[in-house]
Amino acid sequence: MSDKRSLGIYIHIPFCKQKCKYCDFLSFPIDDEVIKDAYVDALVYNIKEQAKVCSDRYIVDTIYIGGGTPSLLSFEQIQKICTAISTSFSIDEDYEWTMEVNPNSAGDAVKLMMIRKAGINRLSIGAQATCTRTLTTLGRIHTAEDIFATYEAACKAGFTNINIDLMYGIFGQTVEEFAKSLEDILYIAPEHLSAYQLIIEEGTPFYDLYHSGQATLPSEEDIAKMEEILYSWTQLAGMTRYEISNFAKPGHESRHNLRYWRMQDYLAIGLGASGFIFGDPGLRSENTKDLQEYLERPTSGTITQVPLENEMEEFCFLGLRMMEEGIDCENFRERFGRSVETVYPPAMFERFIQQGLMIKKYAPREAYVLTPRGADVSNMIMAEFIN
Amino acid sequence: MSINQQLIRNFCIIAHIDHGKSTLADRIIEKTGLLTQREMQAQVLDNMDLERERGITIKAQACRIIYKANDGNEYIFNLIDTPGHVDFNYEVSRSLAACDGAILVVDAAQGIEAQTLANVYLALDHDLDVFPVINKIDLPSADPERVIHEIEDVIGLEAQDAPLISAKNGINIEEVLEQVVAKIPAPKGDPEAPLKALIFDSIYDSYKGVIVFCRIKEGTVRKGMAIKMMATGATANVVEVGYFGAGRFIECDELPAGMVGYITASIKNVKDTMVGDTITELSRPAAEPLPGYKKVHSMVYCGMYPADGAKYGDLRDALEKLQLNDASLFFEPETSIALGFGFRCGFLGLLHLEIIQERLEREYNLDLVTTAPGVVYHVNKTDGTQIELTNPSNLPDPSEILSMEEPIVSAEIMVTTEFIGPIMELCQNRRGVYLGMEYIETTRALLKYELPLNEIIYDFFDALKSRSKGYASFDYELKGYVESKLVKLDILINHEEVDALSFIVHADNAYERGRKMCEKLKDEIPRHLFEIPIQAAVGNKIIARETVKAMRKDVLAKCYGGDISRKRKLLEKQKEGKKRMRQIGNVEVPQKAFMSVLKLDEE
Repeated sequence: MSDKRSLGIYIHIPFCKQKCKYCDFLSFPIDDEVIKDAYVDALVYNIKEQAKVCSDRYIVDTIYIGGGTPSLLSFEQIQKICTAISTSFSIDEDYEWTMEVNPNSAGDAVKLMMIRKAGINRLSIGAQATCTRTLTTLGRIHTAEDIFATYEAACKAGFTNINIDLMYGIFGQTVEEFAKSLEDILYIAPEHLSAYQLIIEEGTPFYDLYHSGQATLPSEEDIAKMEEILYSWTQLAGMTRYEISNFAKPGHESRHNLRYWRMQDYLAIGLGASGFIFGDPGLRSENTKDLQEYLERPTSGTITQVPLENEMEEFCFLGLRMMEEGIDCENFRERFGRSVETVYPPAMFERFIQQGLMIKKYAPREAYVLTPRGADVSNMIMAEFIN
Repeated sequence: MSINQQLIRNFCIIAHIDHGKSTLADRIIEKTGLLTQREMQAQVLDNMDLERERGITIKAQACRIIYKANDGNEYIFNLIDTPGHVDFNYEVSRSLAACDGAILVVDAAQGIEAQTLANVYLALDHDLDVFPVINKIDLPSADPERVIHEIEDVIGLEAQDAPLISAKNGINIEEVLEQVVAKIPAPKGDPEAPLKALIFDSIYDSYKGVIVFCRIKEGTVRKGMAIKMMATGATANVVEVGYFGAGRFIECDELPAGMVGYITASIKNVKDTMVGDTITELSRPAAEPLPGYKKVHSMVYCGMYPADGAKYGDLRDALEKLQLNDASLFFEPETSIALGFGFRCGFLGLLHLEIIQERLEREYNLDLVTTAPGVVYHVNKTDGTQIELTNPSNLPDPSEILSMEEPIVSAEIMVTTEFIGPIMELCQNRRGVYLGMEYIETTRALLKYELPLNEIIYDFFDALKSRSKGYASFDYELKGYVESKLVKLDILINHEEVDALSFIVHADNAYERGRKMCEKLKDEIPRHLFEIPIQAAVGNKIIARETVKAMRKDVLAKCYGGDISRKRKLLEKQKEGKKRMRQIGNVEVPQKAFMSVLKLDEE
């Protein structure tokens, strides 16, 4: 068993009830059971085909069903996917299996319990805020009550590893409103919290609102205050900021997301999903984004080679996202056969350290890690790792 | 075959910009039947893309056409095209000197404009016979009667029988051709006399070497003849002579006095064939050259630097190539602390500068950083010497400067009376000295001003247009140098002086320009990890300051699932942007910031 490489699987569910005004992910409103069934069948086929190629060499230890809104699937549909996974791959005993749910479609404790029984052991609840005004601005269709009810149902159903998504820096959002949302969430004490600042993406209604001047973002000062609150309160709640936007109680870091940041292997299942297999060269896969095409041929997509130099760059900029782990020097050497300081000038690290943006850690492992100030301006730092 | 001088007409068309000069040239060429409709490009004489896009004629060119007149004779018409912009005044004057007459085109709706006057006076100065043509008579707003009176009153040209035409729609073109025969004199000159040929243009061809465009004033030039340029002293053997068909060269045996044509003589450099020079025979030289030759001086200078330092050699090659065809382009290497290796380039005017810049970018694919254009200042030093200052960075220490002089132009601005106020205000703001005003008719006036050249090289045309809703027209000529209270304005970014941003400005305007400059740079310079002061200084005195606040955040919080390529693209873009920056101390300044000074007056 030990000679098998570990593997993550990402499964994409592109359906939602209503597109949120800020969302630029691959998702669209669909309320047609026939299409959903067909899609689930395609996923199952996709899973089995992938398994044929690699299941003998891998043992799966993280699975993530994301979207869109996976909770829009019926239990039967979810179960089909779970069965396909568990029968096609060998799964590590100590696995993490996450599913994203929306507060108004997650279902009651009974459905969640069945989901738990089907093998899923972690939930990620897309709360975003508890304040009604903010939720309306975002175009979310749930209420604060939905969030609390879903969380309670999840606990009753036996979930002991739950993430809640929060957003901040939303149009018109005040510091107080954000503080209230954060307080509400920390009160129910999830194991994990993702807190993302709003990004205005091209092609979303938010983009038009913002660029036509109809909506204004909180001031830089207010955003800074929100972050100050975020960092200090999560710390008080016993959570660690283990990634730029992610906080967890010890031992509850998202193992699947860590896989992305550590550049460990993951398969992509579903519409528009991307996967990665490390090697020289590495292989990056991207499934088709065309639903019709995917339904007809669930294996259609592209595979691109990632040269080793690019992998080194990505290893570094992704590594820096992890506030505790950073760029792990030993891992780098192991993977690339040379030290990170021979790829990037030591003077560059030195400069970042002097500017107070980075520190070098020697324990528990040798690593370059961003300081909180470094995290604030991380794009600038990460760009330096690209040639 | 001998050519009967009586059947030759050498002429040009003069007009204000957009009054239809090139269109009329097209029609004339068309009517004379040398070209089929299919061969006609929209505008035959303007053959550089750039000229067509800008609607102006940059390089003088010529065309020989045959016209069978009503009197039964076949005439040779040499139509010489002239550049239409004040930057190229000297070229215009040499082209005119190659002609015996000129057609004055006036727009039937707009009437006489500043350039119309300037060009007519220039033509009359060269003793050309000028007859007017009223164009665009098919426009709804056309008022030919008024324009005829204007021409008679203002210029004093007989205009009652001026052909009323539409060049665009080919109306009445024959009448123009008949008047060319009747009103423009045949050339004179003795084909047997010692050779005197006026160079009015030259182009470089990689096969033939320099092709010289000339008007034979006296004597005859033949294949194989040894010739000499009287001003530059260059000598050569004539390889080929000929004349200009439409868009191509037609070889012939000789060009006698009165003809317009070209000569090739394996000349490698257009610098040997300066416009205005006289070609003579080496073994039987003319006693004296034709009058009017001037060495062209650059009026406007700027630094040109490759955006990518590695392209320095490419930029030099491109400038050398352009210079082959443009003797008025000057350049010499210079270095800037901020911009690295580049060239100080001299131009006839701002339009010339823009054309060269565009050609470098378009034809040679070069990304350029251009520093603020400036004029040539005279610096009188305390030791009694005078230097010509083309680069502000070379200004001597103030203790060594006795006085400074700047070039002044006399300008004529034609404007409808309702805009006199705003235009006078503009001239006043630009340190203009009012000389007088003449009413052309009750609704239009000609304003005369003396203006410092450095006040009009940036954006005077644009300001003029916007203040007159496009109705003002403008012309100027260099008058000389006057002493002026000038200072060097320096820009400091994070306390470091940036040589490429220094410029010379009148002391009274220093504060305002400094302030605008700082404001502009504040917008152009991205935020850094630290706060960046941007200061404007005259000598040791800071006169304006802005601050680029420290960067607070630059982070992509969002997680795109396993889609790393998206994040990567974002970082690559950021890195790419950084490459286009120039390092000034520990500040990264985008290339375009160096050019922002050009647009200071855009509010």
